[in-house]
Amino acid sequence: MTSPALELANPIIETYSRLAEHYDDERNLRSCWGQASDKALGSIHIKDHSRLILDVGCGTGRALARLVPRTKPGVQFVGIEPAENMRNLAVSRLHSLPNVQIRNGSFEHIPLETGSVDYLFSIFAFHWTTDPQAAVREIQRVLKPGAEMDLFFIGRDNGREFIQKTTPIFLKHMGPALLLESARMRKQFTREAAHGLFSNAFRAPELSVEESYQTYYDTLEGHWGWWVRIEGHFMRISAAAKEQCDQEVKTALLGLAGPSGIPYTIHQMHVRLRRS
Amino acid sequence: MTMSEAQLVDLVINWVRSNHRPGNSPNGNISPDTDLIATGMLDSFGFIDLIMFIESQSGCKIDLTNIDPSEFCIVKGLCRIFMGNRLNDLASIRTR
Repeated sequence: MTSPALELANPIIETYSRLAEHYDDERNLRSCWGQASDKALGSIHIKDHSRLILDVGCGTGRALARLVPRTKPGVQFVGIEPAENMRNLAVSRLHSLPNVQIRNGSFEHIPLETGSVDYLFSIFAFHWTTDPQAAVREIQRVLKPGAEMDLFFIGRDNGREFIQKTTPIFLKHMGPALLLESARMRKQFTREAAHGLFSNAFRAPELSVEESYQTYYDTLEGHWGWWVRIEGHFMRISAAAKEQCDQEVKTALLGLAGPSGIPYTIHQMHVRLRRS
Repeated sequence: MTMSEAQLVDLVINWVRSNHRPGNSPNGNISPDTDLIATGMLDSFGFIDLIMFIESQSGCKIDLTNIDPSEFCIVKGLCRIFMGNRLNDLASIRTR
């Protein structure tokens, strides 16, 4: 049985919007993804010469809320976010900062003028792009010559422990066609593929692509705290089947538990563009 | 390209040997009866790549709707699904 979600244009954006109020729950913020996001954000340094800074997939505006106060006056910030309710939360969070604008948009459609951005960053959003080639062209379009960029997104082997344990369960409840359609919603590149993609627009030595693996250990409840991030994959499972599926997934994940907890390995890509 | 089910099974096995994810295969053994999901040799992304490979080799599309999941993830089951699809395609062409 399928749900009305079949008619959704983009289940990922729709789900992020529907669950926006849960996105900043403590258990998501404290989860492996919250920690990895904080680490990525901590590595971002705004250069003095930057005038316009863009956060693509800004979500509820948490990264901007931390970056803007530590930047000198006169710098303009734009956050773009396709999920309406996430965008509304970002606007609420940042409304007292006059140099910040939140706009509707995505990697494929950035609502900014050509050659206008000094620094572009994005934390764990690029893997949701629906058209990676178009996204890279659009990034190239809005960046000024000599602009800099930091994109953090997940790589091909992300969450491998969970995927190995849960794929048979999702296959049972979703069937092959829906499972593969769901997998296609995320773009998970190897380092070589990511480098090839961005090399269409940028060249070494300005362009570099680094990958890293970090395993986080948590309780089942701790990991379930970030499930809000991937609910869009399961919108086409009926409510009754979803409940059963969730229960089987939880049981399977408990089977991964060791002395340190349940492992989840984040395979991170970091695409960096620097002035030569 | 016309191929038999046995040839397709060999093609799939060789592709999986070359393309399974590092660390996702408890051992390198693979046979026509191997469950590619249960053994961890392929995940859903791996299946997407494998199906694209089969389609590119054969020039035929695989319809996965209403497929038995337990048959789909076994090497010979997947090949049987594909061969059935291809026969249906050929039959529909002949009746046009």
